[in-house]
Amino acid sequence: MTIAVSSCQSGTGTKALPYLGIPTEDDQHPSIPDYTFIDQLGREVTPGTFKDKVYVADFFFTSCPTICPKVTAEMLRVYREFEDNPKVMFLSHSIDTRHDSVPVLKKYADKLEIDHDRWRFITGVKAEIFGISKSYMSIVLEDPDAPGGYDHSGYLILVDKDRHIRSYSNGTLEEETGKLIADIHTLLKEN
Amino acid sequence: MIRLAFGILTIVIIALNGCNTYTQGERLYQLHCANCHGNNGEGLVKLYPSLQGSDFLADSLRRLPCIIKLGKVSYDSSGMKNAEMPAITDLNEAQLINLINYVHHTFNNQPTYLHPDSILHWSAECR
Repeated sequence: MTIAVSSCQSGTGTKALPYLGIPTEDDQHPSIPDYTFIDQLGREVTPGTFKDKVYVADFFFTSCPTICPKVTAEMLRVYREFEDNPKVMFLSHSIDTRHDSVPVLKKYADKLEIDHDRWRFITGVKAEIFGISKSYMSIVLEDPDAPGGYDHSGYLILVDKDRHIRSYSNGTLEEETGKLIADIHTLLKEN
Repeated sequence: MIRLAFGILTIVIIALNGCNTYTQGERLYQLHCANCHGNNGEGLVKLYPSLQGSDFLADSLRRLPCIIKLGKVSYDSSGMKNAEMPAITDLNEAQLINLINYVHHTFNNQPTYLHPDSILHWSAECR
């Protein structure tokens, strides 16, 4: 995976977060494309759901026996850090559209005791979820030989209010979560 | 003098054994269990049960070998499946004994070492 990084300095002298990803042909920062998914309460989730917010995204499935429990635990750490800040939201994409129905996602979210408005667990058209994973620089594959039936990366991806990726951490490594939290604080200082 | 040397040797052997009693069990726990139940058995909110001082764990000691070997599926009152514990199918008898003794010692806070024959007897009851 190639990650092009263009960094700039903000006016205050503190180092701004870079824009991650390969610039488009007209030299724009890459951004998350349009999507429509369904969350744990059956509500539509679109980019408008995160209007004027920053959000952390990941890919998972509820019956995942391998990396997801660790990644979800790290997402929860970040969530708790910003629990009182409505400017920060969370988006977990289920990649197991066969099993992870709306009630299954609702139950999963309930058991994490999170605010259903702030942390959206989504399902939708499988091809669209798999497709958008590339925009989040994540890998999602169906693999009958993998435990649980899917292979996927466990990154937590930080997206700004203009749908650009600004930071990420490896959700299986708890020592990386602190840096992601610091980066969210930095991003929140941007206008 | 010889008696003293034997005494020291015995103490050293006991101390070394004491250090190593739960080593393999702990490694197996970290490998197979910590992913969901946490490095210290803390669990994850209500999604993955905490093992620390868990009543279920303490009450299910006899069933533990089968739960580990076969996994565990449970359902809530509305009939929906809870998070499913996968089976650990590749443990040999010594590993099963060590894992259970580590879990029992650490999370049930029990200093007593479960006799291997007991664990294997419970294990043989798996259906």
